[in-house]
Amino acid sequence: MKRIILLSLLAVGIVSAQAPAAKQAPKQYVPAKTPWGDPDLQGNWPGSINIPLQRPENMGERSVLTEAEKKTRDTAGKQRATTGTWIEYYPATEQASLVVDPKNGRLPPMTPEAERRNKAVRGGLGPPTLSSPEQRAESVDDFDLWGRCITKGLVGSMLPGNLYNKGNRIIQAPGIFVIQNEMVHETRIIPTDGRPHRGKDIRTYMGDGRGHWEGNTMVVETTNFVKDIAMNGINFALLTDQLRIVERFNRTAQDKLSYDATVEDPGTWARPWTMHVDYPLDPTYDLFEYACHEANYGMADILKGARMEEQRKAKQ
Amino acid sequence: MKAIAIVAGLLGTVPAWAHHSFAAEFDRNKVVNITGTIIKMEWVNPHAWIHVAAKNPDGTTTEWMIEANTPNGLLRRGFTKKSLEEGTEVIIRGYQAKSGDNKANGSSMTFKDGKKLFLGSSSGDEEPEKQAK
Repeated sequence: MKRIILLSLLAVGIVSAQAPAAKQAPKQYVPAKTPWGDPDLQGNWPGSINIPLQRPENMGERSVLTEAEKKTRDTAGKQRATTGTWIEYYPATEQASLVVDPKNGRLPPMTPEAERRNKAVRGGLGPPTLSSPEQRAESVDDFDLWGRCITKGLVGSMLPGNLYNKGNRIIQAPGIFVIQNEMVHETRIIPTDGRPHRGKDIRTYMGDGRGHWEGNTMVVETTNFVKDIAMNGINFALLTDQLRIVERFNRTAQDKLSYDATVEDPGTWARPWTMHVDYPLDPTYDLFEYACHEANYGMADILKGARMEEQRKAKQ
Repeated sequence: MKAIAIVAGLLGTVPAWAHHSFAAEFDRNKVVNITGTIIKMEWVNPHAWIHVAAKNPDGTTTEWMIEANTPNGLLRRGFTKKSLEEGTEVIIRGYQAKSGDNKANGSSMTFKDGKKLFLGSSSGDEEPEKQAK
């Protein structure tokens, strides 16, 4: 009896071994479902990776770094963290730039009207940037919205980068998709129940998002942004009320969240553009409260420092 | 011995990328070395602040506020709540505020036992990764 079983098993083994090896496409990861049946994208997805917004022009349409280029970028990131101010080290990836469309990895040109609009700000100085208080710090108007602890806006809040506090958390509930960013304490609570956008006159810094599922991908369309504010981290262009951003969140592996954001504002850029990030899952990364304004001593220090400098120069 | 030594000198470029501009708030040419004891630490974003009582030669004390890295950044570099208990003796190296106030951006902190912690910016000290261990 034992012999029969053994022979049978051997036979099955031979048949299996002789079966033609079918070419299988790589298996697409299927995320688990929430108890109410939506794909589960929840978790902590910090953008603690080093990918610049735009690609060097001489790279053309090559979107992947060589090993040597990646090492150079990684080393530069370590160097910045060692010698810079408040900067954390994040590893480089092979992705050459966040911008993936246009194919050269660079933002499309601004419209002539946008250029004119920018030049008209602050007596020709242009929209305030992070470093603009070094040139002029007359009032809070010389600080960008991040420096004023207001917002990084969209897509500024989603940018990974070589700075600090890049935590992102996704939380879901029936009919709700929540994206929380550590930097500047942003939380977007996005309805996914099909309700329409708010009226066009109700505008906010982070806009009005509406989500829906396309297969396992959460698609968030955001409109109703405040106009004439700069998009933090993106050229500091003053945007118009035509700004519309479509984001796609897709868990392509248990520990990877694929993110695309397509930005269109025909009043600012000649054509839409898209950025891409693969956020790694890090359950150990906890978001720390960013109660920015309460502790923004830097604002008073900078304004007072500028007045002291004026007095010193007046005495000379 | 002077408790506070202000050393003027040209330092290397300090990149100004953070929540706000380093160069607008601090004078990179005005290095301060502050010896004193911890009064308290504010574990707050966008940057933590450490309050230090520096002893003056005449026996009085001067309170300094030291701007440090973000709470999360400090935790990852070896700081804990117990690192800075009230009364701990420290030597802090940093850059004084342009306002002339007793505020500084901290680069490193040295404890009595020689252990160092990186506070957020560089003044030519050794690598922060090494200091945190």
